Amino acid sequence: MRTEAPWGRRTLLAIGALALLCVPLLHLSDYTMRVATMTCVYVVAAAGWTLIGGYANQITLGQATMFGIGAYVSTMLFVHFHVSPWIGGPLGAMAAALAAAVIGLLVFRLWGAYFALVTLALAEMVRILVEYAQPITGGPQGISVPFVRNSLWLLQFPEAKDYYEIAALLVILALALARAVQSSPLGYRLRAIRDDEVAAKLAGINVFRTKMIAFMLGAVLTALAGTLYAQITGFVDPDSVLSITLSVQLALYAIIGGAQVWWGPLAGAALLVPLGQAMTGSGSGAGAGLAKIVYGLLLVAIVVIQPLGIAGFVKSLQRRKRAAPSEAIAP
Amino acid sequence: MITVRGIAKHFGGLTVLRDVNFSVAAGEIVGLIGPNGAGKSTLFNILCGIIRANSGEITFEGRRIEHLQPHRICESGLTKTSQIVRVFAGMSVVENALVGALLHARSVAQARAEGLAALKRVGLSGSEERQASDLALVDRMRLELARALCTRPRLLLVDELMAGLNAAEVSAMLELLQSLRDEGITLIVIEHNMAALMRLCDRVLALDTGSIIAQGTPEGVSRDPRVIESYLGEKFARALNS
Repeated sequence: MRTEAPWGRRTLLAIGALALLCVPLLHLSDYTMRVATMTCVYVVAAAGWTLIGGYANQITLGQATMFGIGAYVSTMLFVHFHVSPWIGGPLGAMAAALAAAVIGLLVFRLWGAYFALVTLALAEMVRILVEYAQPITGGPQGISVPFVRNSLWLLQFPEAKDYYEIAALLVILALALARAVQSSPLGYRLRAIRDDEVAAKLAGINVFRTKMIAFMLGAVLTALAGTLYAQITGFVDPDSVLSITLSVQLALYAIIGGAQVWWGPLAGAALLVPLGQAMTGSGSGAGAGLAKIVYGLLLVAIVVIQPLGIAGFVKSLQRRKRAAPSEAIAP
Repeated sequence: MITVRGIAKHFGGLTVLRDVNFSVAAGEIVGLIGPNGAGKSTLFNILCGIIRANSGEITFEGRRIEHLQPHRICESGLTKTSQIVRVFAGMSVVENALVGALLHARSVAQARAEGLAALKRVGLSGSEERQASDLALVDRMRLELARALCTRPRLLLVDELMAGLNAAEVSAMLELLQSLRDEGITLIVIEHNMAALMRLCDRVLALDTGSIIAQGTPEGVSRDPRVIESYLGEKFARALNS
């Protein structure tokens, strides 16, 4: 029975969380720590996508909108009004939740490819709007976050690696939420919608409201990741935080990791973000091209071999393990 | 319990339901028969709110429901099992039932307990942890019934639950449906198995080309010339009534 997590599993999770926080003790290189920090940011952002895209299989290709809103709101408040990101971040998350409500109202009646395409189109509209609103958003050039001083209150540190602990804490928070949702009534309702929307309605599920809650919760997570991203990079522009590429990446991290389980985004981003970084780090010319091909082939391979991603691999391994002892007993 | 007045439904130029009128009293088991394409399943879908009628009124327990969303109708105590079986394939058997119970249960644990009880009821004990997609068709039909029961319906629409069952299974299913009625659940049953229907139902409605062409006791309806002509056929009706 899976109703209550056994103590062993809970201990394991606690150890995992602690290990995540203790990574800096390994004294890794600045570059590695920077990649680890960015990986954390993308884990949180992809976890936001998972709630609606994975749990309910509503494949949105507009999650960058939420990331961008989180990044822009906190940055604009910081630059124009000197508001701390600790306040700007939650305000950005609220704005993203509001945006999710409006988008949800428009798209939740659509299904499948139509849903994906319309979310993508709406995200592009948001990007174009931000580019035109130059006086407040900085337009296509974006806004720099001026470095004021090394301060926790301003969420400003000299190096990307200094953000690691905060990013790791946010990962723990986001995954704890995703895990709680998974085993809650909301989680079961989302899975029911994923499997058969009509049957879900016949079982008394308010499909629209259920999707909306998940979408808004996910928007909050992705927006918080956006705020953190802006603080770490010190720079926000439409290409980096509102692009289709980012939307697709977030979906990809979750899908490759296994979008139907809470730890899928962690597995996916932990594999793909460093890989992507290594790829861009491999310079120009034939090497870079080759790296991209390998990256693409890897994605195709994972999706072809196991559509449920890394989590799918693990599940089938577990099933095999469980089946093995009974075979041994059988004469 | 439920009163249906003047329900009409067109899909484009195709008229599926013309002017359907009937009512069902609390505690009845009513059969709904008719040839393929008569509009039986469409009528069920309209009652559940999955499809909206073009015109007409549906009053369920004194309340108009034709404008309500399916989950609201389900909440108010009316749901159905589908002709094309609709289980949540990615979930275990008990999780399927649990989802229905979440409508009224206060926690997942309570919903699980209610789900387990419903599974026992329909004869799926022992399969609780199996994947729903691994079940045989007959068991998936049972599972859908269990899930519907978990929503605590007072009126349950059953769409061809006996297709593909052998004689013993039909008997067991009849017994189960009768026991549901004894508990106070009113039933409307679409069924092509006429012999089973005649054993089960207090009353039968015959639907053809979008209207009710006959209603009454199973024996009466099966002797009705219009029903014989459109649905049963001369020979079968004679055999049935002999």
